[in-house]
Amino acid sequence: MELCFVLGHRNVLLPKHLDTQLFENLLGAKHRVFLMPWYSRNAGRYYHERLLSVEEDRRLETAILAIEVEYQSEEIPVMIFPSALESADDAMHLQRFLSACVEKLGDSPLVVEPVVLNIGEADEDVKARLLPVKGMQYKPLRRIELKNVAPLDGRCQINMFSDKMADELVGYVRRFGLVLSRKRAQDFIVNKLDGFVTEELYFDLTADDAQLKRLSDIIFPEILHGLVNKPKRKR
Amino acid sequence: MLDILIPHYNAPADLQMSLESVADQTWRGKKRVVLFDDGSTAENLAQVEKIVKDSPLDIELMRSPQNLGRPKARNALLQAAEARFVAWLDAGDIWYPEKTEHQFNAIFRHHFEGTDIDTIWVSCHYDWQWVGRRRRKVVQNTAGNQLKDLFEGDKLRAYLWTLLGTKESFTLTSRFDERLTRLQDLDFFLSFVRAGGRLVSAGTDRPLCCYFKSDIGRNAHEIRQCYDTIFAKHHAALLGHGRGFARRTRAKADFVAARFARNNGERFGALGYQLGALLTDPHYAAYRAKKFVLKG
Repeated sequence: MELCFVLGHRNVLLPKHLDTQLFENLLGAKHRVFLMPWYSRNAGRYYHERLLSVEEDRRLETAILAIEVEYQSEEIPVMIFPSALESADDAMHLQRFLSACVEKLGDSPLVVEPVVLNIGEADEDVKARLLPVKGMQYKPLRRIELKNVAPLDGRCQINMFSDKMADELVGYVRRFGLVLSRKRAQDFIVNKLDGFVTEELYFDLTADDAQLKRLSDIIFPEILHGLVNKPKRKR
Repeated sequence: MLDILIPHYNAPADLQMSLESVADQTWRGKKRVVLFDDGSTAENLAQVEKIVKDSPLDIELMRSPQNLGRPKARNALLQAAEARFVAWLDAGDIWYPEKTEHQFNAIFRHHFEGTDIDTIWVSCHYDWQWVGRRRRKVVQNTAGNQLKDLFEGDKLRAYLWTLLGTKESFTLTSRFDERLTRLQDLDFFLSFVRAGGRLVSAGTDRPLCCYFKSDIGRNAHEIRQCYDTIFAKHHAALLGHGRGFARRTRAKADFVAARFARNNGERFGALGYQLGALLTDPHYAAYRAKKFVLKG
């Protein structure tokens, strides 16, 4: 069985606004993101990390069955692990998951193609996090830069920026005696930044904290103002 | 891999419609159609061969020189199935595009929850379309006593083309009973449940396929005889729900036969079956008569 793992940083690989079809275009014609609606109605790539906890139930066996049944021989299932490279613990979880896959697959060989999306680390550092697993082999590491993927660029950058700015928006509304969850804050920012991309106004990936702060100073009052003046929903 | 088993007899246009619905499935796994032509005329067979050739699907066409009848055709199809998963379709009925996708999700959900998937069939709600009338949704309720519900035929109905399951699950029961020229689905379902199998829902409220129903040309007497064969074969299971239930089930079979007779212009035949129902279960016959008067 051949699998493709997409690895990188959480703030780029968050599922919001990175729809499956675009992701498949990014990786190649044979690649298809593995969906898991049997695990959760909203499951998809966001939940691949759930596969890393395999102790208690049959999720891994079911995932292997689903891959075997749903993929044609020439297709490559894609799984996305947004935090697998962020810590040594996560890297070990990934290694355990792969060992379990090898065990469940029996005689069938497992080959994994690692793809990293837009991370600054050197290839050698990334490879060091991909721990060896007996009975399986890694294909050469493939690197994809967001800036080289024009159709995806804007959408992925929104993810990145909204993640960076979410904590600040939570703090901003708190100054007015309001409480907002981080997830909801990210939603508001994404909605606002979506308009930028529509107008072909893109983001500089190297923007520093001071630049982000200046952007926040403009859009946060607008977000709050928009919410205060939002027309009531008809009941 | 999924094998889709389709028997066919002298209905190439209907077959084409069914195959198109298979080709339109949103499920993207590898699928193969196994088509059994049950002795169609040379002209119809030539049309079938052209349809197979032009279809984008991977189709294996099996042929019988003479018409063997539906149960033998289905047994031949089951024997020819090679994939781990099997689904059924009759020429002239259609699947809606998301059918297999929903049903596979149900299989995986049950596997994840620890069910032995070789003992379940995934059924689904379907649309029922009488020729010349509006389509209506029929709900398959898998939550109750399935044996009882199959005998009653109100909450759960035995139609193979609603199903998807492992090949193993379809061999859990014996083969299709070749004595049953009609209603072999009902017998197959009853045998499956009696052997420890269970029907499960596809997990969506939407109908996933459509049955184009017509009684025309179907022999009421043949249907009533098939019911008798089934009742004799599953006598213990039928009586297990009480003598009253057994009487009502037999009376219902009379009413079904009466409908077939009426729709084929045999008014006296229909009356005979209705009288039979009255003698078998007067209370149920009275209930049906009242329903007829009130609702038409």
